[in-house]
Amino acid sequence: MRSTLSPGALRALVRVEWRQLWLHRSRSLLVLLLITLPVAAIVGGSSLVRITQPGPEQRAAQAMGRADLRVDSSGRWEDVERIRAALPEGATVQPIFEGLERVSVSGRRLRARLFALEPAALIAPDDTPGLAAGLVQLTAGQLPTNAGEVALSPVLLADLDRTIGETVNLQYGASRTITGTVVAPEELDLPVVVRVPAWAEHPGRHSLLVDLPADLPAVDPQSSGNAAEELASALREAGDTVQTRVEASAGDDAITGAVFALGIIGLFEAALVISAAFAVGLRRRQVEIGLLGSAGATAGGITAALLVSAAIQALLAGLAGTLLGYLGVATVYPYLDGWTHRISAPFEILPLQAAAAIFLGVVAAVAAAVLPARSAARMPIRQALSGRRPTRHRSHKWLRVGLAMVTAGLVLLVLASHEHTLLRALGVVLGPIFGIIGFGACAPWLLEWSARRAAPLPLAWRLAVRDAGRFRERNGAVVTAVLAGMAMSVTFASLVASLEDAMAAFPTVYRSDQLLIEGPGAEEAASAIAERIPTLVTAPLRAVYTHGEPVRVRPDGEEAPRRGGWIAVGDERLARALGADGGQAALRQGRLLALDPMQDFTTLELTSWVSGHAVESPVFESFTTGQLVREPAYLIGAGALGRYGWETGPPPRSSLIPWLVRTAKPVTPELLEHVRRLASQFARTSVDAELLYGNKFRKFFIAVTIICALTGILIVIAATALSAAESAPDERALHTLGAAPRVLRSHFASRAGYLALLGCCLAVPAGLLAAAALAGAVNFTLDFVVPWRDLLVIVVGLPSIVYAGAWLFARTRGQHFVGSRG
Amino acid sequence: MPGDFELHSRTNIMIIRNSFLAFLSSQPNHGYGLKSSFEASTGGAWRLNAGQVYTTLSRLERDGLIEADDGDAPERRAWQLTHQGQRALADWYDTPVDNRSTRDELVIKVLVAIAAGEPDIQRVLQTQRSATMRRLQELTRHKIATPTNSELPDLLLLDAMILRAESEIRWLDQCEQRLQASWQGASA
Amino acid sequence: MTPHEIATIETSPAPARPSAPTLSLVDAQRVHGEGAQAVRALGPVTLSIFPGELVAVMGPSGSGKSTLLSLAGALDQPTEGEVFIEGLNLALLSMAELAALRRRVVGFVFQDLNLLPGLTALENVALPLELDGCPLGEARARAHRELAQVGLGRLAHRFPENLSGGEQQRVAIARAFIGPRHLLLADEPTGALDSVTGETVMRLLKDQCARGRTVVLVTHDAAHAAWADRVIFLRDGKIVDETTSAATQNLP
Repeated sequence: MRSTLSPGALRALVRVEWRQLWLHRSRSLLVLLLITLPVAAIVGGSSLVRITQPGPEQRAAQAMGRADLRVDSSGRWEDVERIRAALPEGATVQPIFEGLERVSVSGRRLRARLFALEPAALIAPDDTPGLAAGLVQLTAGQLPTNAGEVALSPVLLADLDRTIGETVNLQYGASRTITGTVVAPEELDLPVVVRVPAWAEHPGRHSLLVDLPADLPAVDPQSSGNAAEELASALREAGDTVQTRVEASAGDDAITGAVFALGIIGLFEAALVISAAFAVGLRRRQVEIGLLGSAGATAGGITAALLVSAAIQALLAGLAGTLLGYLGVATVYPYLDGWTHRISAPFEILPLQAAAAIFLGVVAAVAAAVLPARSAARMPIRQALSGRRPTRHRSHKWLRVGLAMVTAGLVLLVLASHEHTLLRALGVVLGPIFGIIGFGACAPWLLEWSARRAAPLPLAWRLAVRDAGRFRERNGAVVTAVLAGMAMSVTFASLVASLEDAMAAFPTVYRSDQLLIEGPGAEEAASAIAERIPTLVTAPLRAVYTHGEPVRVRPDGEEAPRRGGWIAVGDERLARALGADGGQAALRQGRLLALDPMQDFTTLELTSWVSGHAVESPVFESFTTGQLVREPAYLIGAGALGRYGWETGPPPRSSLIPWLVRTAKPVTPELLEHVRRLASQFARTSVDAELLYGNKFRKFFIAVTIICALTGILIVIAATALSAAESAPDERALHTLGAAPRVLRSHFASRAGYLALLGCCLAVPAGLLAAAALAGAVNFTLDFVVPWRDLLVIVVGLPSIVYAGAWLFARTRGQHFVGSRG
Repeated sequence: MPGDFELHSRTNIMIIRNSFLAFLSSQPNHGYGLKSSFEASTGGAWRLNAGQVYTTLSRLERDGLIEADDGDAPERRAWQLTHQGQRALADWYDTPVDNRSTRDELVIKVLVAIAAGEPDIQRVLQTQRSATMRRLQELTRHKIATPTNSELPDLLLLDAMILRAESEIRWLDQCEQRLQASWQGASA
Repeated sequence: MTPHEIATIETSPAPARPSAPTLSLVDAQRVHGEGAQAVRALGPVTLSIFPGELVAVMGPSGSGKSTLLSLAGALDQPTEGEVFIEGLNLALLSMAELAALRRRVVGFVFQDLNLLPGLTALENVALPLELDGCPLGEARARAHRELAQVGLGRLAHRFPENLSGGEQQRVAIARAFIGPRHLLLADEPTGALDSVTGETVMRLLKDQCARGRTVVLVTHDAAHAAWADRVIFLRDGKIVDETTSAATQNLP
């Protein structure tokens, strides 16, 4: 029935709704919070991203200083000459070398970003900034002007415990005097080394920073008209790697997008719980809405009033959320520089950003209210007045919708590995969403199905399962919200597992229980360490030499990756130190052990390292240590040296013999610090361990996984709080029947635990689906790995936590006398 | 409506007699005053003629329940209760209305007690209620014992009596509630 | 048959009254609040109820009927005086012992909200046994027998929302007497029912008393109170009168 809704009628109905908000303050507060928090997260998160992430100008400076073009070298001298020739009249060129450097003092060796450049690249003779200014920046002292000098970043100075005027060792050459401090402006905590170019960075390996004259006309008027672009495309045609200023400044706003996406997912979860909250409220007000209907309010009017009230609530919550978000940013703003290690952008309130976040909040709340409001307003008045619940239909409709959506999600996921970029994006984005909503849509049917089979369950669970089945639409929404949160956890956990699995195929620098001691005091330091900490074995790491050069091994396989390299030589102790404990017998027989070969091979080709003299290959066999490390890849017993007329010497890239220490347990940061202190007692001796090369992505993913899990727990808490009001009569009835407090607690806890369990169980297929899509969509081959351990934690651990929490916080003293009227 | 009452029945004579005792318990009065009080207390539903008033008074005097100063004309004499009269009144209050009499006595009794300012009206109501309840209990027990396939007239008669007793209790409940409301109204 | 004849009809003798009361209140009082704000909800009340008795408590709203019932069922504690069930002083029992008492001795039936909507009729009846640790199978078997006694054996597997009001109350009564439970405290159990259905519920209570079980019925409906062996009138928290039906009255 369609009828016009007068403003007066709407006003009257909205007034009724407004009073309801006050009457049910706690539920209204829950709805407000559920909107406030995601809005605050969106506003705060996107503000923080804007403040802490570099803008276009900073990004360009980070890549190429003040230059118009950056041409990265092919390594060939003639290319440099050709590029110089191709440059227009008046263009300035500044060669720089960017690479990796190792800085060490006694006990410590650190890796750092190297900028090898002439002082003029940073500060021109006329004291104006050079072309490379912005890549690095001098903050104190002088720039190095000769091979005996170096400038370091303050982080390095602190870690090495050095100041300006003292000396450090670099990878090549003798000790150098520190002349000043430098920083990378966008990464204040980046370890940076600036020195003049050495012979290793001959002009062929330079990157060229090119500054074009300001008024350079375009050669071809038909082209874009930009001289830099023209030059860049011309160089690219010749095969050079070129970056223009425009390209370098092009930001990817992926992080802002991710913040909004996460916020929207948060709002989606919130909307599901809000929908459940509205459904609870409207169910309790059924008779009142029937009275409104009998007093002449139209179904449309009632729906409109409910939606207006939801919108007003969301508007208030959105304002509060915006305020909270900006307040949060303002609070942390003074500390941001220290956390992000860059100069932060100014704090600003962007009205458009706030409006967008509030708008999203209002949309979420109104969308959440639509279904419950419509079904409440459209209930026949007589039935509404009777106070009875409407006869419920079986949930097959929901099941069909759910299965259809899951199927659609699967089809989209197949698209995710498609060649076409658009189809792939569509698959990656829509596939998981369809999967989550589809599995969520199955929830009401699942709730009903379980409720019909609850008879053998213990009392508390029977009640929980049956009640969830009785209010299945509402609880289905809650389950979907939990599912959405937990599916993200599952997705991230699977991605972490897949990435870790992929990483395991790459060799690490050292074993996790290895320490490498380098420097003149290596032997003494190794024995001092073996005395102080639990150690399995220590051994010197020597290489096989012939013709005064190390012996180089190449397996015969044509396919990359080839695991070639030098041959370590030693006794059982070295074998143990390398993890080849079981290989001693083979070593005694004079065989060459190929450690953890990455591919099958039938012959080994042995040559001298530089001059390439062929060397006779001994009998060899493969040996698996269980931890794939980069080098050494080959091991032979000292007894074989005489047979082949080989000598020994330090490993390639070392001038002294380092010592290996294999500790009883994997090296921890505390242990490493302890060992470093021990080593620092020996002059110019340093310690290295795998710990110093670990990656950071894992921590990030784990943090995201935990945040998602916490969101899931929060949602379950909100849902349990909602259902607590409804279960109050049951609890009182149980109390009058003499239920022990234990029973009342488990009654309460089972309700929470059941919803959490169902959400988590459904999250597994939904999350794996999304992870499979993402794993298929990435550019490099990523074998999909199911993280069984994490899944177990999610399916068993999280519901258990929720159950235990609800058990602890359950109220058991609700001694209300049912029907007390006398 | 006066026609509803059998004015000459013995029960009604007793009601008028006891009502006069009740009015005289609060203050001495003459015949006409008693007539007015009685008629007012029943809301004008029961009117007395002068003959009825003086017959009743002379019988009360004969039984030694009331007395008056001699000398005045009969219609001028101010009557008051004797000790015996007070006892007779208390007996009336304490005796529940017999269920075999018409229930109207109960109504009149309560109305008169209220009009006469009987201080312990609650006790009067409770006494009556207990008696009626006892009767209702008996009727119910009888009903439980009566097979549902008994003679229809028996069952209907039983139902009528149960309903009458029940309504009497309800009426007493209502009296009490209204009294309470009026007291609360007065004290507020 | 005249009213006079009915009044003099012989009634079946009430069960003989054993000496030990099932429930007794001794000078029990319940005062809410303190000082000037103190409101006396009940008392002092002294009352004994014996096995096999159906006792009705009547009184207007606020007379303390329901307070009396919650003191009797250990849902509330008297501020003064004592309550005994089966000779046990409730004040001396722990929370757990009181809960056990509610599982094993005392059952409640209220006007509504009696049954757990998530449990079938059978499960609702079996609930006190189940809460008391009785094996599920046995609890259900006994519940089935109890349900059959109230004439609802056919509807054992229905959920409360599929039962009529009268059926729900009969399930609640069956539950109140499951296992060793034998004292029923009923608060307006017929309040939400029409008179014919109310009468079947009263008949059921009367039958249960004939089996030696005890019922305390709070009501303001005289017709239903009249089913009781004794009717106690409460006014402002105090007992103002007590009537005993004729047969019992005639006992020495």
